[in-house]
Amino acid sequence: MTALVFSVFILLSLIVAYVAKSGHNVEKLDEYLVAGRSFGGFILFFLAVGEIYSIGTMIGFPGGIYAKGISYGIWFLGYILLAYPVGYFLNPLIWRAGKKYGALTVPDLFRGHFSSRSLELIVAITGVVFLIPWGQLQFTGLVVALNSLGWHLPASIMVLVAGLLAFLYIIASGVRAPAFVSIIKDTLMILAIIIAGVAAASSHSTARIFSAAAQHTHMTMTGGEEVFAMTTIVFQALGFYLFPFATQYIFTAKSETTIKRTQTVMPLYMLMYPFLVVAAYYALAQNLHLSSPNQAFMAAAVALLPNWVLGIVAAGAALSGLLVLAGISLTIGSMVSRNLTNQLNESTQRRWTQVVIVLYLLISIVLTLFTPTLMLTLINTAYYGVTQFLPGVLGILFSRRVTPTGVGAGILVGDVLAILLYLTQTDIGHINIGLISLVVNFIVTYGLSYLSRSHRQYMPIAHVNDPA
Amino acid sequence: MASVVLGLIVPFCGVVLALPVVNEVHSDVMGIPFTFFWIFLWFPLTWLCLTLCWRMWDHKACQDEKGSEP
Repeated sequence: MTALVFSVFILLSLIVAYVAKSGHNVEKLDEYLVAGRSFGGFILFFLAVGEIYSIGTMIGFPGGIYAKGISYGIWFLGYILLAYPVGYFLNPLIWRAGKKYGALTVPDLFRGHFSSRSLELIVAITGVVFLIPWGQLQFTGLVVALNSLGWHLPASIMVLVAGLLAFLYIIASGVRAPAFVSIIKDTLMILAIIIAGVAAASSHSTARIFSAAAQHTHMTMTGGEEVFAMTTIVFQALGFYLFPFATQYIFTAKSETTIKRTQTVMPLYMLMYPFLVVAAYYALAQNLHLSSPNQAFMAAAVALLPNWVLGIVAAGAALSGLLVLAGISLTIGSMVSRNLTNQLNESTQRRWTQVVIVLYLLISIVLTLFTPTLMLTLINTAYYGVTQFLPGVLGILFSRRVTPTGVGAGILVGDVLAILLYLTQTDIGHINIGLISLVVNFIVTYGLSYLSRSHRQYMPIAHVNDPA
Repeated sequence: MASVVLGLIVPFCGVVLALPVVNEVHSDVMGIPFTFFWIFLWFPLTWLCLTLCWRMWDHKACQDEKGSEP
């Protein structure tokens, strides 16, 4: 029964993906990638929440609380919440820059503003590399969700099926597919989260769940956890919209007004999280035996819900992972074709795009199978690299002085430092290592820009009136 | 500028800077640990801050540039 309900919803979503393109010529690249910059508030909202609330929310977030306690719950909620005010102010300007430079990808923005081929390459390559942990995040969650269906298939088969499904969504309709499938996915996901939360709260009172859980975990943060939570919230809120796929969704909006207004309602969508928190603590309170903390949410769902409802929960989780994988593949494909191989002929371009997407999915799959990681740690890892675009983007928006040499060197120094600190497990007063790297990145970017300044001045976007 | 204070600085103070204080509160609200309750409270509060920014200042700026948008 679980598997049947699950399959029906997955099939339905595939049909929607194929219907989504009707009436639009998706052969045209800007139609395929940014829907001709035509999305109004309603569909923009669904595309945004579809990509933001990935499987990291439903499966990863409760797992993080289960493994690391309250501090992981707090930083996760805090950074998403604060990303919305940041986006409220920055995203309209990023959209304006995208329009001015005819940008469809993040590297396009840098090329358009700085006219630098090497900077374009640096942004495109680091963009692809730091999307790998994000892919691993989705696959890890997908294995957990599919496991709950009771098919007893090896994880390797399940990730391959998941990869194939994600591929089917994007070849369907370009960016319209994730936008429209998001409507199904978000309905299922919210339904699943509320059902699980309510079921947990009504089986025992919330007070009893939390007091029982308190025997297994702390309900307040230690000093070190507090520093990590605070610095992670700031660092990741700043990087939220710099993910190459997030920026591309900003480009699909039809105006700056649409973006700002959509941004104001985003915090209300988070009202589903209290239900998820209750479900996570239920898993802790019941002392469910898990082979991996990532299973906390699904284990709670299995313990609480009848089979057919479990099918809805699994479908909601799986769709959220699949959609994001489809979105990432689309983004990577566009960066490869527009920014890495754009000087080659079209058939070679297309072949390379496919090779890179398949390679990307395979690397993510291999890492999922051989280096099992707490899902929230994968989120941290992706941000270490992606947020390093910030000094450059702020330069594009606000500064005449920032030069391509400064930005390129800043990104490389920031990324290398973050990777080194991560691999050596260096701990500097529990501060998020990405934030430390970002500070160094800012110093390098602005320092080098000052030293290498030329006669050339770059017109900051904030000083350009809306070209529409 | 007033918009940045209300829309950006106020939520950052509430969610990040207040954490060390909030973390010292050891009681709970309706069974929920206070720190979680505090963050939950900021979901509607952040919405309120941004909505006020839009209503009071930013919709004018956007309309000045665009003209047609409702």
